[in-house]
Amino acid sequence: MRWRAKTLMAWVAVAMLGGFVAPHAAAAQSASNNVGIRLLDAPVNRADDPRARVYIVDQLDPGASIHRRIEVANATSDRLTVQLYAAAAQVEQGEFKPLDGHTANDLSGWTTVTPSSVDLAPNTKTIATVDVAVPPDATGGERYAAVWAELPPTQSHGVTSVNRVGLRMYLSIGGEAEPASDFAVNDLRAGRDSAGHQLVTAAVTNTGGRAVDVAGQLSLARTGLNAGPFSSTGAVTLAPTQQATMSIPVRPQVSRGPWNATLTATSGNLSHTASGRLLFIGAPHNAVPGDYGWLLWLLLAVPAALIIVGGILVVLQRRSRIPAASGGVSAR
Amino acid sequence: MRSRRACAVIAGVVGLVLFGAGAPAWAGPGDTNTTFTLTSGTLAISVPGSANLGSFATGSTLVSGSLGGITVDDTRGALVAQWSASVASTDFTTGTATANETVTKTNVAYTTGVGSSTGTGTFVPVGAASLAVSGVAGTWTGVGNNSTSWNPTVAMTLLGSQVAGTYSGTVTHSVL
Repeated sequence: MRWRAKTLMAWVAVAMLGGFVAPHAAAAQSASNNVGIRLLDAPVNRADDPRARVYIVDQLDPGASIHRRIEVANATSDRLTVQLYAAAAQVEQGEFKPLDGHTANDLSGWTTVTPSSVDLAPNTKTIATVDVAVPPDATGGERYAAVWAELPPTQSHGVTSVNRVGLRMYLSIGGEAEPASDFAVNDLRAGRDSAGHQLVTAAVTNTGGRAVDVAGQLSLARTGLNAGPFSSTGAVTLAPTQQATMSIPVRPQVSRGPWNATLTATSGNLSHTASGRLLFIGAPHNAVPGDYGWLLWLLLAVPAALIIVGGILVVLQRRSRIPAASGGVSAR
Repeated sequence: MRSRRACAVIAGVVGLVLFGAGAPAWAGPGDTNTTFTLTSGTLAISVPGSANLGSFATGSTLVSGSLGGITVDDTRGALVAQWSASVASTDFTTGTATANETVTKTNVAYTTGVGSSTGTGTFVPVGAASLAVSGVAGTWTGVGNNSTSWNPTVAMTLLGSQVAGTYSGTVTHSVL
């Protein structure tokens, strides 16, 4: 009777523990503790441009203005004050680089975000407006900036942590017709990164009049084999006339080839393909699955070496025994 | 009969007028002020975590610790989903911020570590050996909704003459 009661108590304890733990685990999974930003308005004349659905992409004459709504959402369980403002960005080295803090440039100076600060209750969202007024004497060309939603800082052990999330702005000023967007991708090469992992690179050049964000997908094929698709590391952002190298890591690694490679590069609804024949030479990173040349050599060489060494030792031993047998003293 | 017909005509006219007023003015090709409303999700960043860079004994050359976790949630559902997280630091100072009371941002290194992601795509951690200028923490490329969390560490190279004290500075993560 005693052990039954004990067992019963043990099961009850386990059930209670489970009951205590389970709802907490569920709560942790369902709560997202973040602040988000999104674009609410996109121009009708860019309805088919995927980039215009996530970034503020437009073309304006000097003296013109646009008005776009954005939404800021507080998906945390605390009341938060979120700062809203526009700041400078630039496109260089294949990246869309926001500048630090509230650093300003032409476009950020022409942009007003209203309100500049929103006080959001837990799990609520609000609409703000982004107004861009281009001065009549603005020079033509592309401009880049970002609209930021900045969270209240956290302070801990002397470190102040600031997180902010933003919307990119790609604005083209002037011209009677909007400059066409285009880019070229070529010069596919097989190589290895600094850690020895296989890497394919391609040269991407902006040949149009608007900035592009180019991402790539690589497929490899040889007789009876297909590998991929492999994705590029991030998108390459290029202002007109800029060029950068796109990197596509090949993970997990493939055999050395040669492979027929096809790279499909896309920016918005623009797409171009580059192809080439690639051979991955150089030292592999650890063992290369499917390429056992070096392992075969090791499997043959080691036993062969042992046999040779063993043979030498046996010969030496026999030689040393012969003089002992003729003149030595035998054990009794 | 007549009144019914009249009602129908009136209803038709009223309908046309309302339709005309409610419908968006149809845009010419150069008109950028006519917009439609998007229904996608947001690009979101988590509330900053609590950093703890630990303490160092005078004479040590390096101190490092965690900045606290950071999560980027992208529910924009984009066909080509991309975002880039960059990080910037200020100098860290104590007391009156003289040379020996300062760890310049050049001596602050950021390691992203391995991110953990959901979604179709790849998170590429980058990091920066020196935050003299802002660096890239990591980038995402993929398709559709995604979410990535990482817990970065910061390492500070100290001067031989570094003074003891609580050092203060600001680290900013920017995602877009």
